[in-house]
Amino acid sequence: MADDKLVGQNCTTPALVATVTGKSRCAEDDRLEGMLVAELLGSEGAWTS
Amino acid sequence: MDDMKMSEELPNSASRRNFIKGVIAAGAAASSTAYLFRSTTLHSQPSAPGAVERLVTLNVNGQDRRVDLLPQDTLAWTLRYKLGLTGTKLGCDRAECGACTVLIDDVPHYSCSVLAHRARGKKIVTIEGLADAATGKLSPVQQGVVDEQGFQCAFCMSGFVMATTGYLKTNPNPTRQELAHGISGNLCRCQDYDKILTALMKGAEYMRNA
Repeated sequence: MADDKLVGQNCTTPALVATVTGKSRCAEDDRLEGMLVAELLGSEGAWTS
Repeated sequence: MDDMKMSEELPNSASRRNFIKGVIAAGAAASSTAYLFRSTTLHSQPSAPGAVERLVTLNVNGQDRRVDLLPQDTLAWTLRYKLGLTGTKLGCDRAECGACTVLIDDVPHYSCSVLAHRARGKKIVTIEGLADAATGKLSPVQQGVVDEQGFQCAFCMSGFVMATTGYLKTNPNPTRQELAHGISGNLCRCQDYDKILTALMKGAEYMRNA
């Protein structure tokens, strides 16, 4: 790949500044228009045995 | 025996049974609603009229905010769902994890366990109020977290940052051990404590040099 300018460099997570100032939102922070009830379902696949 | 049989057949008895069934159904509905909105059943109960003032002013991040409070509203609940400041996280809602830590008059408190009414007349600072509002310049602790990338999922981050900010006001030059003790009321489910401490120590260093 020709565009390897990021290889070997420290990268800041794109959302880090938003996270650290409390602006980023977790799923449960969202309230959609007209929403009465919501349920968050976790993945059933992301388990190790 | 005959008496019991008779009482079973009384119309009153049947209606009492229906009444109890109704109560059970209503209770189940109320408790499942409370579960969905991450609250105790207290939140859905109407307040006794005239018990306390409902429309109050809270000083949050330097601004006076008018808010309609029920007596049982916690500060964390109020900040997140009535004032829209979702940077304060609710982890356990029972004073175990510290994710909801905010500063009240510069002292870190678990906002899930402080009634919003108790915070009247005090200065509340949340994670949204740390950075300079005009310039957007991060606070020293926030800058330390950004530079060291101290957190994984960062759900606990705002609590850690607020606890550290409060602790550094009492001890601006802590050893790593002292800072670890100072923020021992905060839990990280990613078990990322070593990097968190490194980041917060960097924040303490920035704060001293600022």
